[in-house]
Amino acid sequence: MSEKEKVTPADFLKRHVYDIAAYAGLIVTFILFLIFSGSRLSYNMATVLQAASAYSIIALGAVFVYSMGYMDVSVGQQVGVYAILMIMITNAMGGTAFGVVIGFLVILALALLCGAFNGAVAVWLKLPSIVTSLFLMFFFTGAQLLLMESTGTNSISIQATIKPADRNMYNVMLVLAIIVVAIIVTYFFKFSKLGKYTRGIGANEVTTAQCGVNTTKWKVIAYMAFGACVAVGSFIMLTRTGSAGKGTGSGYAMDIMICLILGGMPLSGGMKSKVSSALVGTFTYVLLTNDLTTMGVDLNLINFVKAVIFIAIIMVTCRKRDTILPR
Amino acid sequence: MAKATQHELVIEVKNMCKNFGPTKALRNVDVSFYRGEIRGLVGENGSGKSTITSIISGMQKATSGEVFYKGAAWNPGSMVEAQKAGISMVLQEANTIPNCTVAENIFAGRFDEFSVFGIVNMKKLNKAAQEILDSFGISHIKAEDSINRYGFEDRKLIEIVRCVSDDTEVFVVDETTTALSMEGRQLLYKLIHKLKDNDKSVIFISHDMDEILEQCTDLTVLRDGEIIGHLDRSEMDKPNSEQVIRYMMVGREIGDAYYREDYDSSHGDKVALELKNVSLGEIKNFSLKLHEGEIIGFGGLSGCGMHEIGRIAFGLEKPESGSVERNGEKIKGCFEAIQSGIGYVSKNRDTEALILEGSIQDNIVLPSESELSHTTFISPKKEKQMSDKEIASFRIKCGDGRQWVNTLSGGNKQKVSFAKWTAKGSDVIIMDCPTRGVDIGVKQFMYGLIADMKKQGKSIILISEEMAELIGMADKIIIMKDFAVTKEFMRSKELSETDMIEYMI
Amino acid sequence: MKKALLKKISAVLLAGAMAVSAVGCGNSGGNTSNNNAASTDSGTGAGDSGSAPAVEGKKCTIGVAFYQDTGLAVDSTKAYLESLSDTLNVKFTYTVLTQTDEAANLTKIQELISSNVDGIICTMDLGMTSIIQECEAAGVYLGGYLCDYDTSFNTAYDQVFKSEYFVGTAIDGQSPDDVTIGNSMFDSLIEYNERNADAPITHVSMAIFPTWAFPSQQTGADQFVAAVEAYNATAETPITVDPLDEESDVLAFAPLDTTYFAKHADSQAIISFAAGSAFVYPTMVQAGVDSSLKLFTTGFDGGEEANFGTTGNGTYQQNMVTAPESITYPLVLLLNKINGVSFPDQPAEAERISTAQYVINSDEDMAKFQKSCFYTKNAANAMYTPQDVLNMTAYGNPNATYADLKGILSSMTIDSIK
Repeated sequence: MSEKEKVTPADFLKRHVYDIAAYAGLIVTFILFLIFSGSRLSYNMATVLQAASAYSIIALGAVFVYSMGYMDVSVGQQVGVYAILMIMITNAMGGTAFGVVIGFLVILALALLCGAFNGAVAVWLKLPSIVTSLFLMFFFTGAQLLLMESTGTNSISIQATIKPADRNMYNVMLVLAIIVVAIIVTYFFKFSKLGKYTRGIGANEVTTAQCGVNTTKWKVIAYMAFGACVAVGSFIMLTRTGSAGKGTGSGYAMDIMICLILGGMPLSGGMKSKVSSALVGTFTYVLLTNDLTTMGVDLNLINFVKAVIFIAIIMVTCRKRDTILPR
Repeated sequence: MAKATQHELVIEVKNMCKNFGPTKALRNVDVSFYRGEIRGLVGENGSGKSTITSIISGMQKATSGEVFYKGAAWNPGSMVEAQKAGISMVLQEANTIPNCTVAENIFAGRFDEFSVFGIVNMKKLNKAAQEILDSFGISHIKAEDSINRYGFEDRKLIEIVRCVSDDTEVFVVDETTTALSMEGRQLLYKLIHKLKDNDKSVIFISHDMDEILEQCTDLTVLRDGEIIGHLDRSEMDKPNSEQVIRYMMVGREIGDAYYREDYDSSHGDKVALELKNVSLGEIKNFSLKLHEGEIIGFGGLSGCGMHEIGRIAFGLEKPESGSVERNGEKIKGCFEAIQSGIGYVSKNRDTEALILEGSIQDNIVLPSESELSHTTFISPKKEKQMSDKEIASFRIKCGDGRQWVNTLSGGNKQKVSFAKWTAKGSDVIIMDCPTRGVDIGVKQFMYGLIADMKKQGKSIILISEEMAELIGMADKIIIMKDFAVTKEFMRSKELSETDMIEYMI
Repeated sequence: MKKALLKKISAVLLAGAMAVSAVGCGNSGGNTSNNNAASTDSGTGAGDSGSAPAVEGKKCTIGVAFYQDTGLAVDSTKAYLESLSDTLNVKFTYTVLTQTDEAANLTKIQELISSNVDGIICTMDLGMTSIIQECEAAGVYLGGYLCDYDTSFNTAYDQVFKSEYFVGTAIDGQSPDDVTIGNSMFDSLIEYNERNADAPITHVSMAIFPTWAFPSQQTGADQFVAAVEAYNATAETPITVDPLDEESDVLAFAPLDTTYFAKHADSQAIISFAAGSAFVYPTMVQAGVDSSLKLFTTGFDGGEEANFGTTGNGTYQQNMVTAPESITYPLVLLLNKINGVSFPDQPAEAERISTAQYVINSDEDMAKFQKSCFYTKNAANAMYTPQDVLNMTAYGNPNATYADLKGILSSMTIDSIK
């Protein structure tokens, strides 16, 4: 019955065009990185790792949301508010380790709540999820400004030590954090109902619902999983500078989206969504920026080159539907 | 090519191949189409009928081979290009633009003809559209109405109107008739005969053997992407022609064991599913008891309400009053329905029943993830075992479970849609038009499966527009008209389609 | 199908090629200078040659992190720095910081460090403790420019100002320790009234940026009010100053709101401590008051001269800007550190120093200003030649002192334009 035919190279290319484009981007940027970092390679590696750490953790969480074909534009402002709150709570508790823990638990709870809100309200009001996340974005923009107004400064610093003094230790900590989050996300995305259902919802929500999946519930869970990663990502980001202010996190939402697309995540979500997109994309994006700076490319040109590469990736990966509309 | 004809050659396909990944849909096909004929294309699902016509009409490109149209090499870039050159096709799936008027649909892409400096003269557009509709004899459709007001069938007619114009040289009808009522079909038949008489060429794809034998002047049979043979009118008129064609299509004797052979309509005493005084919209106080091991068939015209009954029974639609119960518990939604062992094969296979952009395995295991999951962990090995078992028992024609469903033929897709529920082990299966657009081989397989299920004590609701199927399979047939039950028939040898029709119309 | 695939692949290749070539152009210069750096390094042994006059400094790279990437101020500063490049043996690279995101700024600084800079001039005080840590780890020195480092000064003085890798910062005339801007504004107003004795300005209102960003502007406003009050005690025609209104007069980096004019209906002039050309003037034009109201403001973005003094609508009656040459302060201190020398009178801890301002009060001042390096973006018009700057360094001139450098910084007024 089933005849196994040889897969031609062209077929292989066609089927894996996403992956090939994504990995090729990573490899090219990495090679350029090796070439242009020169004598400061090890320092620069740490630079890339640090710049990518918060992005990759948030992007990993975003895989759940993007696999449903949804997106979130509030993540940047959430990161900002969480970082500020964490500093305020820790400082209010005298900068103790206990304060750090409490601060983190508070932002984790808040992030889960926002995730639930994002998922649930979108379903109940039958709104596109981007609308609810827009609402959250405005809400958090206001909250961020108000919180900072109350401090009377542009930027506040945490009074506790949340970063190992030793640079290498810190880098190891970041690598471990990324690996642990990646493993957890991979487990839930590949080997549990959560990932299977989010992909199903992205590919065909009606079918998934008719297979007995409570799509509302799983949407909420997916957004909450994303929220948990946002909380962890905010903490990791905070460890870098120990401070936060009015504009902390601004632009994260777009950056995360670009990272995922660069990593080969289809914007429509579905069965082709992969966890690796988050890591491949984040590192491609960070390496690309780093390459362009270390090469001494003019600043205006950097944005141009980024735009060209971005458009090229979109062109390569976007699915063209057959034009079946006669006349 | 033993076709002796005086008609002029219009399309010639030479040595055409088409691969979908590892699947070979066409293998070195040579076929010619002539003016003044209605050429039937028959074959099982996946035999390559639609692939040939879709390449001719510009929907996709052949992997290799050539097409000649009016003597010149033909390689259309899109359906629009093909249509401009005179090759039009009406598809199986709905292809109208929602939220627009009928007139806008008819003239989509041709607004230039009605506009001055970019402003479209809607009055002129509507008038021209209405004239066309009238000329086709479907005056009940109004040009200025929104297309959303019309049902699937009327939309299909609008599509036909859009496709056919004075310039049409070749008209392809791809399984369109399944969507049409008797009236619509007659309209279409009249149209294709008129085209034939005007020395145009018609290519007609259908699973309905009677229709093929009645309407076509010539017949080409395909199997597994190869041309098996051609029949002309005289060969089609032979008394055993149907058997011959079926044999050619399937490649083996179908035999008589097609429907259930027994007339034993006994079943268990236990009620498997009960609808108690259900009302929703125009359906009022509908009640039903489905027993273990019973097959209840629902028949009627497409707008009679029988499809809605299926959706209510599965918890997809919430009744305004009354309840759906199984084992004494109320079914509030499809989640509960599935938990209690009910499965549903939707009539909208591609939009509701299947994730087209997903693998066979993804689809088969989706309803069963809860059973497969142990403290959040789902073993990929167990998933593969489950799906491979179903692929084997359903004989789904594919490379392996990772193949995407949208690369499968209609019949194999339908098998996947069934397999979801056998994998889950559902005891009550609601089937809405389970054999729509499915070829004989797969149909026979499905009927066998349904009969087996009955023997295992499973309960089935079979909603169908094909009366022969209901007569052949159901223990009890409920005929509906205008959202109400007009007649119930018990299984019997004597039951005929004409008995049933009078309660439908 | 095949064709489409081919198209896609070529699109990727093309994009890749573009990226690589764009990058290639930018790079060729960078690499060669690095190579040279290595060779001169071993050749001169810069550190111990302190006594020889006009000695060449160590070949080095200094990264300049601006607050924006265009504008007169940035362009003229870049032109000035580039003109120094050969004589001082310095290659300059540039980046742009964000106004608000600490982590993003840290990444930018790290990227500068990665591109092998020896020193950094940074125009933003955001995430500074972590940035200084990076600099310490990488052995890169950091100086400030056009920024008061007030957050660091007040909350992280030990980590930043006491760090041996922080050399100090030059502030554009508004050091919170030494505010003079209120008095400057008052002097300009009186100069205007003397010149226009027939129609003096007797009623003014003010505009400032929020205190959290620029604490010195509030202080400046208070100073201005105090100066006016002192003047009114003896003046024949007293001047009225509307008190600062929290809602309309504090610009949160957004343009002035039109309600401002209703609130200050009697005002004849706006004294804008905030950058008026960008945040006040457009609203004045929009409300049609640009010919009836006068504007005294910090900053000069280019184009103001068309409506300055007696020209055009005469809206602008004063502009106040910092000379791009004042970047010499952090630059010289960085070069000293890089070359391993220091001034005999070098203070133990890094300082923040106010620069003098170009205060443009009259048509004559404006004519003079239009010959400056700032306005022309031409380093040939700079107040100091590259050789002058070399002579300010401790290794270029054994007699150079820190006091001299500070003196030079406070002398950059409108009258010193060549």
